[in-house]
Amino acid sequence: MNITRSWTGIESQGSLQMTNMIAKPSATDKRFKAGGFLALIAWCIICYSLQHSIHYYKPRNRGPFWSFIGFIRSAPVRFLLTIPLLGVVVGYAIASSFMWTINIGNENVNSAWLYGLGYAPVILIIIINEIAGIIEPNEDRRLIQQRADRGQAIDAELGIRNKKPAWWKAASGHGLTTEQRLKALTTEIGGGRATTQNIGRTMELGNMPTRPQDEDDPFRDPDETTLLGDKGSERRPGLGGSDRDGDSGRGNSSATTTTLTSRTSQIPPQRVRSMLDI
Amino acid sequence: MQLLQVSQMLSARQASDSATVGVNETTLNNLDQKTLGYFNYTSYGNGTLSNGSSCFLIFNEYVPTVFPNGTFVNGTSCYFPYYPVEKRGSLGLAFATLFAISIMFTLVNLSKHGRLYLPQEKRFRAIGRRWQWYWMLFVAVCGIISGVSAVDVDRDYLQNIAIILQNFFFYLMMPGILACVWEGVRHWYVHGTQFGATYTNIFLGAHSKKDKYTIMIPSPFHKMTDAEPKNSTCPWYSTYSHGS
Repeated sequence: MNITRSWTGIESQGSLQMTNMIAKPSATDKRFKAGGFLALIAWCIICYSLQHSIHYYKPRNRGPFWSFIGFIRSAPVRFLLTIPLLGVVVGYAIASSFMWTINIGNENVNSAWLYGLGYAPVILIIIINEIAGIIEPNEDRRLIQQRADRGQAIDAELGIRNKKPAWWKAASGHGLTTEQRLKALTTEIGGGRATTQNIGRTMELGNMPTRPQDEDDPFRDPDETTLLGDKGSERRPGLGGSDRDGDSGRGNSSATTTTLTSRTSQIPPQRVRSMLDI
Repeated sequence: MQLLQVSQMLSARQASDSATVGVNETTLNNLDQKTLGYFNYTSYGNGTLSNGSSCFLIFNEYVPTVFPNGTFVNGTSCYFPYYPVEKRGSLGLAFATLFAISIMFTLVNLSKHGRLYLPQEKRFRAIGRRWQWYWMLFVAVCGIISGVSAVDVDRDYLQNIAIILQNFFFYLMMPGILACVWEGVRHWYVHGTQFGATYTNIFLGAHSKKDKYTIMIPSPFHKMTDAEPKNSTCPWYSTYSHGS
Protein backbone atom coordinates (compact mmCIF):
# COMPACT_ATOMS: atom_id res chain seq x y z
CA MET A 1 0.00 0.00 0.00
CA ASN A 2 2.96 2.23 0.38
CA ILE A 3 4.13 1.84 -3.13
CA THR A 4 1.10 2.50 -5.30
CA ARG A 5 0.92 6.18 -4.74
CA SER A 6 2.26 9.38 -6.07
CA TRP A 7 5.78 9.63 -4.77
CA THR A 8 6.56 13.04 -6.02
CA GLY A 9 4.86 14.85 -3.18
CA ILE A 10 7.82 14.18 -0.95
CA GLU A 11 10.11 16.17 -3.18
CA SER A 12 8.30 19.36 -2.45
CA GLN A 13 10.38 20.56 0.42
CA GLY A 14 11.83 23.69 -1.08
CA SER A 15 10.55 25.85 1.62
CA LEU A 16 8.96 25.49 4.98
CA GLN A 17 5.58 26.33 3.66
CA MET A 18 5.89 23.87 0.87
CA THR A 19 7.07 21.27 3.27
CA ASN A 20 4.09 21.70 5.42
CA MET A 21 1.60 21.89 2.65
CA ILE A 22 2.71 19.22 0.27
CA ALA A 23 5.44 16.93 1.45
CA LYS A 24 4.24 16.31 4.94
CA PRO A 25 0.69 15.30 4.14
CA SER A 26 1.82 13.02 1.38
CA ALA A 27 4.34 11.25 3.55
CA THR A 28 1.91 10.80 6.40
CA ASP A 29 -0.83 9.83 4.09
CA LYS A 30 -3.48 7.36 5.02
CA ARG A 31 -1.85 4.83 2.77
CA PHE A 32 1.37 4.89 4.74
CA LYS A 33 -0.58 4.40 7.89
CA ALA A 34 -2.55 1.55 6.42
CA GLY A 35 0.64 -0.02 5.11
CA GLY A 36 2.20 0.23 8.52
CA PHE A 37 -0.69 -1.55 10.14
CA LEU A 38 -0.72 -4.27 7.54
CA ALA A 39 2.93 -4.84 8.34
CA LEU A 40 2.00 -5.06 11.98
CA ILE A 41 -0.59 -7.71 11.24
CA ALA A 42 1.95 -9.64 9.18
CA TRP A 43 4.38 -9.49 12.08
CA CYS A 44 1.73 -10.81 14.44
CA ILE A 45 1.09 -13.68 12.07
CA ILE A 46 4.78 -14.57 12.18
CA CYS A 47 4.70 -14.63 15.96
CA TYR A 48 1.54 -16.69 16.00
CA SER A 49 2.85 -19.26 13.55
CA LEU A 50 6.03 -19.67 15.57
CA GLN A 51 4.04 -20.16 18.74
CA HIS A 52 1.76 -22.60 16.94
CA SER A 53 4.67 -24.66 15.67
CA ILE A 54 6.25 -24.83 19.08
CA HIS A 55 2.99 -25.75 20.74
CA TYR A 56 2.68 -28.84 18.63
CA TYR A 57 6.20 -30.08 18.73
CA LYS A 58 7.68 -29.15 22.03
CA PRO A 59 6.80 -30.15 25.57
CA ARG A 60 3.58 -28.72 26.83
CA ASN A 61 3.49 -26.18 29.61
CA ARG A 62 0.56 -25.32 31.80
CA GLY A 63 -0.66 -21.83 32.34
CA PRO A 64 0.10 -18.67 30.40
CA PHE A 65 3.27 -17.75 32.26
CA TRP A 66 4.95 -21.13 31.98
CA SER A 67 3.89 -21.60 28.41
CA PHE A 68 5.54 -18.29 27.62
CA ILE A 69 8.73 -19.40 29.33
CA GLY A 70 8.53 -22.69 27.48
CA PHE A 71 8.07 -20.82 24.25
CA ILE A 72 11.17 -18.76 24.88
CA ARG A 73 13.18 -21.83 25.69
CA SER A 74 12.02 -23.90 22.74
CA ALA A 75 12.18 -21.35 19.98
CA PRO A 76 15.40 -21.20 18.04
CA VAL A 77 17.62 -18.36 19.18
CA ARG A 78 17.64 -16.97 15.69
CA PHE A 79 13.92 -16.24 15.79
CA LEU A 80 14.00 -14.90 19.30
CA LEU A 81 16.43 -12.26 18.06
CA THR A 82 15.04 -11.45 14.65
CA ILE A 83 11.36 -11.19 15.48
CA PRO A 84 11.74 -8.35 18.00
CA LEU A 85 14.02 -6.53 15.55
CA LEU A 86 11.36 -6.95 12.93
CA GLY A 87 8.92 -5.50 15.40
CA VAL A 88 11.17 -2.46 15.76
CA VAL A 89 11.17 -1.85 12.01
CA VAL A 90 7.41 -2.21 11.79
CA GLY A 91 7.03 0.08 14.78
CA TYR A 92 9.23 2.68 13.14
CA ALA A 93 7.19 2.52 9.96
CA ILE A 94 3.96 3.06 11.86
CA ALA A 95 5.36 5.80 14.04
CA SER A 96 6.87 7.67 11.12
CA SER A 97 3.56 7.58 9.32
CA PHE A 98 2.12 9.55 12.20
CA MET A 99 5.02 11.80 13.08
CA TRP A 100 6.64 13.92 10.41
CA THR A 101 9.71 14.66 12.46
CA ILE A 102 11.06 11.16 12.19
CA ASN A 103 9.68 10.35 8.78
CA ILE A 104 12.21 9.21 6.25
CA GLY A 105 10.77 11.59 3.69
CA ASN A 106 11.74 14.57 5.76
CA GLU A 107 14.96 16.05 4.50
CA ASN A 108 15.82 17.34 7.94
CA VAL A 109 15.13 14.18 9.85
CA ASN A 110 17.63 13.39 12.52
CA SER A 111 19.69 10.58 11.08
CA ALA A 112 19.68 8.66 14.30
CA TRP A 113 15.97 7.94 14.06
CA LEU A 114 16.09 6.96 10.46
CA TYR A 115 19.10 4.71 10.59
CA GLY A 116 18.86 3.51 14.14
CA LEU A 117 15.27 2.40 13.93
CA GLY A 118 14.92 1.83 10.24
CA TYR A 119 18.04 0.45 8.65
CA ALA A 120 19.95 -0.92 11.61
CA PRO A 121 17.38 -3.56 12.62
CA VAL A 122 17.17 -4.74 9.00
CA ILE A 123 20.91 -5.19 8.70
CA LEU A 124 21.00 -6.85 12.11
CA ILE A 125 18.32 -9.32 11.03
CA ILE A 126 20.38 -10.11 7.96
CA ILE A 127 23.56 -10.54 10.02
CA ILE A 128 21.82 -12.84 12.49
CA ASN A 129 20.46 -14.97 9.68
CA GLU A 130 23.86 -15.16 8.04
CA ILE A 131 25.53 -16.27 11.26
CA ALA A 132 22.82 -18.83 11.87
CA GLY A 133 23.26 -20.08 8.34
CA ILE A 134 26.98 -20.49 8.81
CA ILE A 135 26.61 -22.30 12.13
CA GLU A 136 23.85 -24.71 11.21
CA PRO A 137 24.58 -27.66 8.96
CA ASN A 138 22.72 -28.28 5.75
CA GLU A 139 19.35 -29.73 6.57
CA ASP A 140 19.69 -32.69 4.28
CA ARG A 141 22.92 -33.55 6.03
CA ARG A 142 21.15 -33.27 9.33
CA LEU A 143 18.52 -35.72 8.14
CA ILE A 144 21.16 -38.14 6.88
CA GLN A 145 22.94 -37.95 10.21
CA GLN A 146 19.67 -38.56 12.02
CA ARG A 147 18.98 -41.63 9.94
CA ALA A 148 22.48 -42.96 10.49
CA ASP A 149 22.16 -42.40 14.23
CA ARG A 150 18.80 -44.05 14.25
CA GLY A 151 20.22 -47.01 12.35
CA GLN A 152 23.01 -47.39 14.84
CA ALA A 153 20.63 -47.12 17.77
CA ILE A 154 18.43 -49.82 16.29
CA ASP A 155 21.45 -52.04 15.72
CA ALA A 156 22.46 -51.57 19.31
CA GLU A 157 18.95 -52.46 20.44
CA LEU A 158 18.86 -55.58 18.36
CA GLY A 159 22.25 -56.57 19.60
CA ILE A 160 23.94 -56.55 16.24
CA ARG A 161 27.54 -55.88 16.89
CA ASN A 162 30.40 -55.94 14.43
CA LYS A 163 28.11 -54.79 11.70
CA LYS A 164 30.07 -54.27 8.55
CA PRO A 165 29.87 -50.83 6.98
CA ALA A 166 28.03 -50.35 3.71
CA TRP A 167 31.09 -50.40 1.53
CA TRP A 168 32.18 -53.80 2.81
CA LYS A 169 30.11 -55.69 0.28
CA ALA A 170 31.82 -54.02 -2.62
CA ALA A 171 35.22 -55.24 -1.51
CA SER A 172 34.08 -58.84 -1.04
CA GLY A 173 33.66 -59.80 -4.68
CA HIS A 174 36.35 -62.49 -4.61
CA GLY A 175 34.59 -65.34 -6.30
CA LEU A 176 33.89 -63.57 -9.54
CA THR A 177 35.67 -63.63 -12.82
CA THR A 178 37.10 -60.48 -14.29
CA GLU A 179 33.94 -60.09 -16.29
CA GLN A 180 31.62 -60.34 -13.33
CA ARG A 181 33.76 -58.08 -11.25
CA LEU A 182 33.45 -55.48 -13.97
CA LYS A 183 29.68 -55.92 -14.03
CA ALA A 184 29.43 -55.68 -10.28
CA LEU A 185 31.49 -52.52 -10.38
CA THR A 186 29.21 -50.89 -12.90
CA THR A 187 26.06 -51.79 -11.04
CA GLU A 188 27.47 -50.27 -7.90
CA ILE A 189 28.48 -47.07 -9.62
CA GLY A 190 25.01 -46.76 -10.91
CA GLY A 191 24.69 -47.58 -14.53
CA GLY A 192 21.01 -47.02 -14.11
CA ARG A 193 18.06 -49.19 -14.57
CA ALA A 194 19.20 -50.41 -17.95
CA THR A 195 22.30 -51.90 -16.48
CA THR A 196 20.40 -53.67 -13.76
CA GLN A 197 18.02 -55.13 -16.29
CA ASN A 198 20.87 -56.27 -18.40
CA ILE A 199 22.46 -57.95 -15.46
CA GLY A 200 19.15 -59.58 -14.60
CA ARG A 201 18.75 -60.82 -18.10
CA THR A 202 22.21 -62.25 -18.29
CA MET A 203 21.83 -63.92 -14.96
CA GLU A 204 18.61 -65.53 -16.02
CA LEU A 205 20.30 -66.82 -19.09
CA GLY A 206 22.76 -68.42 -16.79
CA ASN A 207 25.96 -66.59 -17.35
CA MET A 208 27.07 -66.98 -13.78
CA PRO A 209 29.80 -69.51 -13.33
CA THR A 210 28.57 -72.76 -11.84
CA ARG A 211 31.90 -74.49 -11.70
CA PRO A 212 32.78 -75.14 -8.10
CA GLN A 213 36.39 -74.35 -8.79
CA ASP A 214 35.58 -70.68 -9.34
CA GLU A 215 34.09 -70.29 -5.94
CA ASP A 216 36.51 -72.34 -3.96
CA ASP A 217 39.80 -70.82 -4.92
CA PRO A 218 39.71 -67.04 -4.96
CA PHE A 219 43.31 -66.59 -5.85
CA ARG A 220 43.37 -68.76 -8.92
CA ASP A 221 43.11 -66.95 -12.23
CA PRO A 222 39.95 -68.05 -13.96
CA ASP A 223 40.22 -70.01 -17.18
CA GLU A 224 39.99 -67.63 -20.15
CA THR A 225 37.83 -70.04 -22.13
CA THR A 226 34.87 -69.42 -19.86
CA LEU A 227 34.61 -65.90 -21.25
CA LEU A 228 33.67 -67.22 -24.65
CA GLY A 229 30.79 -69.07 -23.16
CA ASP A 230 30.61 -71.95 -25.65
CA LYS A 231 32.44 -74.29 -23.45
CA GLY A 232 30.51 -72.98 -20.49
CA SER A 233 27.22 -73.82 -22.07
CA GLU A 234 28.52 -77.20 -23.03
CA ARG A 235 29.56 -77.85 -19.51
CA ARG A 236 26.28 -76.85 -18.01
CA PRO A 237 24.11 -79.79 -18.96
CA GLY A 238 26.61 -82.12 -17.41
CA LEU A 239 26.82 -80.10 -14.31
CA GLY A 240 23.12 -79.72 -14.09
CA GLY A 241 22.68 -83.42 -14.26
CA SER A 242 25.25 -84.16 -11.62
CA ASP A 243 23.86 -81.59 -9.24
CA ARG A 244 20.27 -82.61 -9.44
CA ASP A 245 20.61 -84.33 -6.15
CA GLY A 246 22.51 -81.43 -4.65
CA ASP A 247 21.38 -78.76 -2.18
CA SER A 248 18.25 -76.82 -2.99
CA GLY A 249 19.89 -73.50 -3.75
CA ARG A 250 22.17 -74.68 -6.43
CA GLY A 251 19.60 -77.19 -7.59
CA ASN A 252 17.24 -74.40 -8.47
CA SER A 253 19.77 -72.49 -10.49
CA SER A 254 20.94 -75.56 -12.30
CA ALA A 255 17.35 -76.56 -13.00
CA THR A 256 16.85 -73.28 -14.75
CA THR A 257 20.07 -73.62 -16.65
CA THR A 258 19.13 -77.09 -17.91
CA THR A 259 15.82 -75.86 -19.21
CA LEU A 260 17.45 -73.00 -20.97
CA THR A 261 20.53 -74.71 -22.30
CA SER A 262 19.06 -75.11 -25.72
CA ARG A 263 18.62 -71.38 -25.89
CA THR A 264 21.97 -70.57 -24.42
CA SER A 265 23.81 -72.73 -26.85
CA GLN A 266 22.29 -70.76 -29.67
CA ILE A 267 22.60 -67.28 -28.17
CA PRO A 268 26.13 -66.43 -27.22
CA PRO A 269 26.24 -65.02 -23.71
CA GLN A 270 26.94 -61.37 -23.26
CA ARG A 271 30.56 -60.64 -23.56
CA VAL A 272 31.89 -57.60 -21.81
CA ARG A 273 34.68 -55.90 -23.68
CA SER A 274 34.69 -52.63 -21.83
CA MET A 275 32.59 -50.69 -19.39
CA LEU A 276 31.14 -48.73 -22.26
CA ASP A 277 29.35 -51.85 -23.44
CA ILE A 278 27.09 -52.05 -20.45
CA MET B 1 7.69 44.23 -17.50
CA GLN B 2 8.64 43.77 -13.94
CA LEU B 3 9.83 40.36 -12.96
CA LEU B 4 7.66 38.75 -10.39
CA GLN B 5 9.49 38.38 -7.16
CA VAL B 6 8.29 36.17 -4.41
CA SER B 7 9.95 36.44 -1.12
CA GLN B 8 9.33 33.27 0.73
CA MET B 9 10.25 31.48 3.87
CA LEU B 10 13.24 29.32 3.34
CA SER B 11 13.35 25.69 4.16
CA ALA B 12 14.83 24.92 7.54
CA ARG B 13 18.09 23.78 6.08
CA GLN B 14 18.56 26.79 3.90
CA ALA B 15 17.73 29.08 6.75
CA SER B 16 20.46 27.55 8.84
CA ASP B 17 22.98 28.03 6.09
CA SER B 18 23.49 31.78 6.21
CA ALA B 19 25.54 31.88 3.06
CA THR B 20 22.58 31.26 0.79
CA VAL B 21 20.12 33.68 2.26
CA GLY B 22 18.48 35.74 -0.36
CA VAL B 23 18.79 36.23 -4.01
CA ASN B 24 21.78 37.95 -5.37
CA GLU B 25 20.09 41.13 -6.48
CA THR B 26 22.81 42.34 -8.76
CA THR B 27 22.83 39.09 -10.63
CA LEU B 28 19.13 39.26 -11.04
CA ASN B 29 19.16 42.81 -12.24
CA ASN B 30 21.85 42.10 -14.76
CA LEU B 31 19.66 39.55 -16.45
CA ASP B 32 17.36 40.59 -19.22
CA GLN B 33 14.14 41.29 -17.40
CA LYS B 34 12.00 41.29 -20.51
CA THR B 35 13.05 37.79 -21.47
CA LEU B 36 12.58 36.51 -18.00
CA GLY B 37 9.16 38.01 -17.81
CA TYR B 38 8.22 36.65 -21.19
CA PHE B 39 9.03 33.13 -20.10
CA ASN B 40 7.28 33.63 -16.78
CA TYR B 41 10.29 33.25 -14.59
CA THR B 42 9.75 33.94 -10.94
CA SER B 43 12.42 34.64 -8.44
CA TYR B 44 12.03 32.94 -5.12
CA GLY B 45 13.30 33.76 -1.71
CA ASN B 46 15.46 30.67 -1.51
CA GLY B 47 17.75 31.88 -4.23
CA THR B 48 16.16 30.22 -7.21
CA LEU B 49 14.74 31.42 -10.45
CA SER B 50 12.12 29.23 -11.98
CA ASN B 51 9.23 29.10 -14.36
CA GLY B 52 7.95 25.68 -13.52
CA SER B 53 9.95 23.85 -16.16
CA SER B 54 13.47 25.08 -15.59
CA CYS B 55 15.03 26.22 -12.41
CA PHE B 56 18.30 27.99 -11.82
CA LEU B 57 20.32 29.10 -8.87
CA ILE B 58 21.00 32.78 -8.55
CA PHE B 59 22.87 33.42 -5.35
CA ASN B 60 26.46 34.00 -4.50
CA GLU B 61 28.69 32.68 -7.24
CA TYR B 62 25.99 31.36 -9.54
CA VAL B 63 25.65 33.90 -12.31
CA PRO B 64 23.69 32.74 -15.33
CA THR B 65 23.21 34.71 -18.51
CA VAL B 66 20.04 34.66 -20.54
CA PHE B 67 19.64 35.24 -24.21
CA PRO B 68 16.56 36.83 -25.72
CA ASN B 69 15.32 33.49 -26.96
CA GLY B 70 15.23 32.18 -23.44
CA THR B 71 18.34 30.01 -23.32
CA PHE B 72 20.42 30.20 -20.21
CA VAL B 73 24.15 30.06 -20.33
CA ASN B 74 26.19 29.17 -17.27
CA GLY B 75 23.04 28.29 -15.49
CA THR B 76 23.15 25.88 -12.61
CA SER B 77 20.18 23.67 -12.02
CA CYS B 78 18.36 24.02 -8.76
CA TYR B 79 19.00 20.40 -8.03
CA PHE B 80 22.70 20.87 -8.12
CA PRO B 81 24.45 19.04 -5.27
CA TYR B 82 25.39 22.16 -3.43
CA TYR B 83 25.68 20.96 0.12
CA PRO B 84 28.39 18.68 1.42
CA VAL B 85 27.64 15.14 2.43
CA GLU B 86 26.49 15.12 5.99
CA LYS B 87 25.44 12.48 8.48
CA ARG B 88 22.51 11.14 6.52
CA GLY B 89 24.57 10.62 3.41
CA SER B 90 27.57 9.08 5.07
CA LEU B 91 25.45 6.75 7.19
CA GLY B 92 23.54 5.81 4.07
CA LEU B 93 26.76 4.89 2.32
CA ALA B 94 27.92 2.90 5.34
CA PHE B 95 24.72 0.89 5.39
CA ALA B 96 24.86 0.38 1.64
CA THR B 97 28.33 -1.10 2.07
CA LEU B 98 27.08 -3.39 4.81
CA PHE B 99 24.23 -4.59 2.61
CA ALA B 100 26.64 -5.20 -0.24
CA ILE B 101 28.90 -7.33 1.97
CA SER B 102 25.87 -9.23 3.18
CA ILE B 103 25.03 -10.23 -0.38
CA MET B 104 28.28 -12.16 -0.51
CA PHE B 105 27.48 -14.07 2.66
CA THR B 106 23.93 -14.68 1.54
CA LEU B 107 25.16 -16.33 -1.64
CA VAL B 108 27.53 -18.53 0.36
CA ASN B 109 24.73 -19.58 2.65
CA LEU B 110 22.38 -20.12 -0.25
CA SER B 111 24.78 -22.53 -1.88
CA LYS B 112 25.38 -24.28 1.42
CA HIS B 113 21.79 -24.66 2.53
CA GLY B 114 20.10 -24.89 -0.82
CA ARG B 115 22.04 -27.92 -1.88
CA LEU B 116 20.13 -31.15 -2.10
CA TYR B 117 21.76 -34.20 -0.61
CA LEU B 118 18.63 -36.30 -0.48
CA PRO B 119 16.13 -36.90 -3.26
CA GLN B 120 13.16 -34.59 -3.05
CA GLU B 121 10.09 -36.05 -1.46
CA LYS B 122 6.64 -35.11 -2.55
CA ARG B 123 5.78 -33.54 0.74
CA PHE B 124 8.94 -31.58 1.35
CA ARG B 125 10.25 -29.42 -1.41
CA ALA B 126 13.72 -27.96 -1.42
CA ILE B 127 12.60 -24.66 -2.87
CA GLY B 128 11.07 -23.83 0.47
CA ARG B 129 14.39 -23.54 2.18
CA ARG B 130 15.95 -21.35 -0.47
CA TRP B 131 13.35 -18.65 -0.34
CA GLN B 132 14.70 -17.19 2.87
CA TRP B 133 17.98 -16.43 1.14
CA TYR B 134 16.29 -15.06 -1.98
CA TRP B 135 14.42 -12.57 0.15
CA MET B 136 17.62 -11.57 1.88
CA LEU B 137 19.18 -10.85 -1.49
CA PHE B 138 16.19 -8.72 -2.40
CA VAL B 139 16.37 -6.77 0.86
CA ALA B 140 20.09 -6.22 0.43
CA VAL B 141 19.65 -4.85 -3.08
CA CYS B 142 16.93 -2.47 -1.91
CA GLY B 143 19.14 -1.45 0.97
CA ILE B 144 22.04 -0.66 -1.32
CA ILE B 145 19.95 1.51 -3.61
CA SER B 146 18.34 3.25 -0.69
CA GLY B 147 21.61 3.88 1.08
CA VAL B 148 23.42 5.16 -1.94
CA SER B 149 20.64 7.57 -2.85
CA ALA B 150 20.79 8.97 0.66
CA VAL B 151 23.98 10.72 -0.35
CA ASP B 152 22.18 12.97 -2.75
CA VAL B 153 19.46 13.68 -0.27
CA ASP B 154 22.10 15.49 1.70
CA ARG B 155 23.74 17.17 -1.22
CA ASP B 156 20.93 18.43 -3.40
CA TYR B 157 20.01 22.04 -2.99
CA LEU B 158 16.41 21.31 -3.68
CA GLN B 159 15.15 17.80 -3.19
CA ASN B 160 15.08 15.75 -6.31
CA ILE B 161 14.63 12.11 -7.17
CA ALA B 162 17.13 11.04 -4.50
CA ILE B 163 14.78 11.32 -1.60
CA ILE B 164 12.08 9.52 -3.54
CA LEU B 165 14.48 6.67 -4.19
CA GLN B 166 15.55 6.43 -0.61
CA ASN B 167 11.99 6.46 0.60
CA PHE B 168 10.70 4.05 -1.99
CA PHE B 169 13.35 1.43 -1.50
CA PHE B 170 13.15 1.68 2.23
CA TYR B 171 9.47 0.89 2.12
CA LEU B 172 10.19 -1.84 -0.38
CA MET B 173 12.61 -3.40 2.11
CA MET B 174 9.86 -3.74 4.67
CA PRO B 175 7.77 -6.50 3.10
CA GLY B 176 11.01 -8.07 1.96
CA ILE B 177 12.38 -8.45 5.45
CA LEU B 178 9.00 -9.57 6.74
CA ALA B 179 8.89 -12.25 4.07
CA CYS B 180 12.44 -13.28 4.87
CA VAL B 181 11.73 -13.92 8.54
CA TRP B 182 8.43 -15.54 7.67
CA GLU B 183 10.11 -17.97 5.29
CA GLY B 184 12.62 -18.79 7.97
CA VAL B 185 9.92 -19.58 10.50
CA ARG B 186 7.84 -21.55 8.04
CA HIS B 187 10.73 -23.59 6.83
CA TRP B 188 11.91 -24.30 10.33
CA TYR B 189 8.49 -25.69 11.06
CA VAL B 190 8.43 -27.81 7.90
CA HIS B 191 11.90 -29.11 8.52
CA GLY B 192 10.97 -30.03 12.06
CA THR B 193 8.03 -31.94 10.66
CA GLN B 194 10.32 -33.71 8.27
CA PHE B 195 12.76 -34.48 11.03
CA GLY B 196 10.13 -36.18 13.12
CA ALA B 197 8.13 -37.48 10.17
CA THR B 198 8.83 -41.15 10.65
CA TYR B 199 7.44 -41.39 14.13
CA THR B 200 4.66 -38.90 13.45
CA ASN B 201 3.47 -40.91 10.51
CA ILE B 202 3.50 -44.10 12.53
CA PHE B 203 1.58 -42.76 15.48
CA LEU B 204 -0.61 -40.05 14.08
CA GLY B 205 -1.11 -40.82 10.45
CA ALA B 206 0.08 -38.73 7.56
CA HIS B 207 -2.42 -35.90 7.96
CA SER B 208 -3.80 -34.48 11.12
CA LYS B 209 -5.52 -31.41 12.42
CA LYS B 210 -2.37 -29.36 12.65
CA ASP B 211 -1.75 -29.72 8.97
CA LYS B 212 -4.85 -27.68 8.34
CA TYR B 213 -3.17 -24.83 10.17
CA THR B 214 -0.07 -25.27 8.07
CA ILE B 215 -2.14 -24.70 5.00
CA MET B 216 -4.28 -21.95 6.43
CA ILE B 217 -1.69 -19.70 8.01
CA PRO B 218 0.31 -18.64 4.94
CA SER B 219 -2.65 -17.13 3.08
CA PRO B 220 -3.46 -14.25 5.43
CA PHE B 221 0.23 -13.54 5.78
CA HIS B 222 0.73 -13.27 2.08
CA LYS B 223 -2.37 -11.15 1.74
CA MET B 224 -0.92 -8.70 4.23
CA THR B 225 2.55 -8.43 2.83
CA ASP B 226 1.49 -8.56 -0.79
CA ALA B 227 -0.95 -5.75 -0.29
CA GLU B 228 2.00 -3.57 0.60
CA PRO B 229 4.15 -3.48 -2.44
CA LYS B 230 1.44 -3.66 -5.03
CA ASN B 231 3.49 -2.80 -8.01
CA SER B 232 3.07 0.79 -8.87
CA THR B 233 1.64 1.53 -12.26
CA CYS B 234 1.01 5.12 -11.44
CA PRO B 235 2.74 7.58 -13.72
CA TRP B 236 5.82 9.14 -12.23
CA TYR B 237 4.99 12.49 -13.61
CA SER B 238 7.23 15.31 -12.66
CA THR B 239 5.39 18.00 -10.87
CA TYR B 240 8.30 19.72 -9.37
CA SER B 241 7.43 22.58 -7.13
CA HIS B 242 10.48 24.72 -6.87
CA GLY B 243 9.29 27.04 -4.24
CA SER B 244 5.98 28.32 -5.47
